[in-house]
Amino acid sequence: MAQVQTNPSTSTEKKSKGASKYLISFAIMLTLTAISFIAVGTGAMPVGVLIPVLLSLAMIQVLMQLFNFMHLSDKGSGFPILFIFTGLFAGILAVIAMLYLL
Amino acid sequence: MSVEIEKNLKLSVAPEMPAHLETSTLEGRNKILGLWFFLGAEVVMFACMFGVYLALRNSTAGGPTTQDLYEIPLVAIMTTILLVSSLTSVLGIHEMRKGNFRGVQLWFGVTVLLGAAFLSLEIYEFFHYVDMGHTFTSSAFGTAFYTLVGTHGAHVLFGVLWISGLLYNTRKEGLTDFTAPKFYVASLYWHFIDVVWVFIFTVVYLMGMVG
Amino acid sequence: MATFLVVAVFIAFIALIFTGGYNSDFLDRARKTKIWDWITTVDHKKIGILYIASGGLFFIFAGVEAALMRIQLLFPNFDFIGGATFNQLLTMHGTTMIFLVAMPVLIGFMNVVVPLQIGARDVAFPFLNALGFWLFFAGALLFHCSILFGGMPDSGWTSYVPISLNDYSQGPGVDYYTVGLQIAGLGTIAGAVNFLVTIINMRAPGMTLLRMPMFTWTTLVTSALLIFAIPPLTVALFLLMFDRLFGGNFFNVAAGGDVVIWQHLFWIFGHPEVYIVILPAFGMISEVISTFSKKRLFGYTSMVFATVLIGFVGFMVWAHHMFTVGLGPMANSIFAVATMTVAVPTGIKVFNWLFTMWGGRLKFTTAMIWAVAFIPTFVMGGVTGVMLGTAPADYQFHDTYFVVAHFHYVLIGGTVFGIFAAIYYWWPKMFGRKLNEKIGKWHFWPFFIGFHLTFFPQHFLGLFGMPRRVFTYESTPMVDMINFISTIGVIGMTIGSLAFFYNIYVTTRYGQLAEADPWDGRTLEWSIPSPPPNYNFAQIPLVRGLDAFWLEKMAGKKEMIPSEPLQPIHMPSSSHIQLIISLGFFMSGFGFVFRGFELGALGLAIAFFGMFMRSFDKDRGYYIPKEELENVEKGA
Repeated sequence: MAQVQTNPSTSTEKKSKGASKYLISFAIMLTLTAISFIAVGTGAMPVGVLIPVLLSLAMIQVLMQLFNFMHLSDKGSGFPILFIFTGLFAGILAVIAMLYLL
Repeated sequence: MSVEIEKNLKLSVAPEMPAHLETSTLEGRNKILGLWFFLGAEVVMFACMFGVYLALRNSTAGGPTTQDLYEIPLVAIMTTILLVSSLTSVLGIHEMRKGNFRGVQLWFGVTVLLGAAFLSLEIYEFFHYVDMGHTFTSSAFGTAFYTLVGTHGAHVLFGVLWISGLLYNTRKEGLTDFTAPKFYVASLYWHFIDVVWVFIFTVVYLMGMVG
Repeated sequence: MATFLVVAVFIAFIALIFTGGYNSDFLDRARKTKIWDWITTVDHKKIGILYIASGGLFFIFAGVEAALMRIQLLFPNFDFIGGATFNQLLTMHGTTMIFLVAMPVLIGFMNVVVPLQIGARDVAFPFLNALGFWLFFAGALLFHCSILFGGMPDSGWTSYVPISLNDYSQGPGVDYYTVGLQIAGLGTIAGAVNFLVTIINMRAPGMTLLRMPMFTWTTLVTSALLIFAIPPLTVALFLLMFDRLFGGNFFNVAAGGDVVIWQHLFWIFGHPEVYIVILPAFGMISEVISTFSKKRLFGYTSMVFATVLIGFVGFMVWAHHMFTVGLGPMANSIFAVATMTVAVPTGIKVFNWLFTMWGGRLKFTTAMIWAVAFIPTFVMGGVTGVMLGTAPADYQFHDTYFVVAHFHYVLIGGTVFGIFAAIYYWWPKMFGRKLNEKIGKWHFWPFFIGFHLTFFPQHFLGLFGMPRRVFTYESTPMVDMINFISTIGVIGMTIGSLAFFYNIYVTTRYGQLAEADPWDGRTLEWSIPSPPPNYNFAQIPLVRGLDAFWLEKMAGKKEMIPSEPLQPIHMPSSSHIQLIISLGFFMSGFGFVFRGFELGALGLAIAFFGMFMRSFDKDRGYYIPKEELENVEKGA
């Protein structure tokens, strides 16, 4: 439990080029959110198209959170990925049941 | 013999992770993996609550409907706040990987403040709805709405308390292989809160506004 | 509430008399006692034993409840305990057996055995593990408080709405159910996360996933199922609690609620739960059969594959509990087909066990007898399961004694037989003494015969149309006789259980000391002393294949090859914070049950305070020095 010196490890520095990776992801996520809100606010799309679009935008944004912000793209993330997506699968089954099987 | 031992040692099973401070000890790797499994459970829990909400969202029993209640500006502000807080917490991790404890404190501090701002807005929102006659007991829709959004709010509150406690707790020790996993785990939890909110603003608010 | 206070004060009073009152060195003396050592332990072996012991305690409760119900059903129109009490006993029996007997005992064995099988010194989160146990125990205790204070829950272990809502189930019974199970569920999630991380991150060098013993594999899959199955139950219990305590409208049809939501959520949890309590038993049986046949487990890889497949498909079959709800022919057909699919991997397992025994050098110890009895009994339960999964036929079987017979065949013939096999198999490792084999036979035969006598005739009772969960029946020729026979069978199971507890007593007092490897075992736990030292392995072994210890023995060695030099071992310190957290949840639960929301909030505050205390704890364990290890290893 020794105090670790505050010098950056060089290998890390090479891999992630500063914070720009996160800033770019953030900008994309913000844009996706804005598209969703504008699409709803203006009512430009018919509801039948709008809802799948909203859900896909949300899904893309969530995947970006998971892989860029929560570092699921790092090596050795096999089990986290397996469990998050299995959870998602079980959860979607439950949602479908509540929507169509009541 | 020794060749075989070496071959077997290479089969050693702990997943290889990049050499970051938070994954430099077994305890650290355990913590992070454990939190991921916990998040797996949370995914299912929130999914079930979404299911219940979707099943009951039109059961307003004569009270205000989703279209009556939800308004874009407030939700947009809350979304932006939470999204920015997600960025600040990942910047905190970025500083942590660079070994800059000051930066960690700064970015996680901002995260806590943004979380608190989000919570205040949510409390304001709930009061607003109650004034409009949309309460926990007014209809099945009301019960389901407050349960889902309230559970998310409770997670935000817990996250705010957690990260504040962590910042206070580590103020003297700084970044070590013991404290780094704690920060990493807290940031994972915080991102997860944002992930859930993405679904809430899409499924509850936006889809509620279009009916 | 008043009764509770009186009892609490009384207990404190008695405690003071026995401890000589509170004075300055009271805490010091308390810290030196054995009890303090056990309740603050973070050692996975001790926690496992605590789990198993509390499971055994609740087994007695639930067993007595079952016996009382069977006596009530002895004769037609019999008035022994009456309908209201019958409903309460029925609910308590079912809930206790599933949540407070089967699960803790299985989790207890996972705790004791899995770290030893994978060659680890400890679990990944020793504190979380202890917290998991104490949360489970707090929940279980709260649930059982209902016997004394306010009345037991009475709407069945499935607690279907609306009969579990305030209108139909007055009194705090169902609140004990919702709150108690929530607290226990939290503990279970903690335990499951702990096992997953332990198995994935802490295996000995060389132990790849496909070299793990079968019991470890089933633990892995079971823990994953717990992770995904407990949350729907938590949500369901939350909804029910909100409706009962805070005037929510989830199930209030007048305000737009829907009662089928409960059924969905409950069974999305409930069906995986069935596999949660059977898969570890499969693992136990695999270990026992392979050891006492002196053969490698037949079709190990297919066994692993079948386990994973059962776990996965288990999430897509829950609606077969709801065939008669009226979900429509399409949904019913899909779920019926999915249900029958489960029979395929289960069949693979059954054949693998049979082929493991085929041509083996069989040794019928008590453990092996239980394991062998498991196979045909469980197959019968499985076959009736496929019958129930046939949607049109289910309209006939639904809510009759046929269902009762079916799930007792899988739960007793499967889980309980598996657990008994495991108890006889691992007892020497846990306590250093072998359970008496002769009394073991006295345990097996009456229990086995009594079990079949009780439940086999119930299939026919169901086919004749006797509904389950009724407290009495009109005199009808065959039904009278079958009910009578069924109750007589309980005597056999009682004799068997008494013999088992007597066996524990005799073994603990006079039992024969067990050597490290009493059964000529195959896996790593048999390569260390019985009982193991608290650090398990002085040197982490190197694993060179499946059945690692057996391989070394076949190569003419007596011990495992170490993978590291002897060096100081890091150990976690014991802790009392998990007790504070659990006490907080217990208090809070009591407050909510009696609508004392101030007490509820105070309890939650104490629990969260405990969590923060833990987070500020600077104690990061201690090291056992090398010299001490050398001394211990020389002595062994």
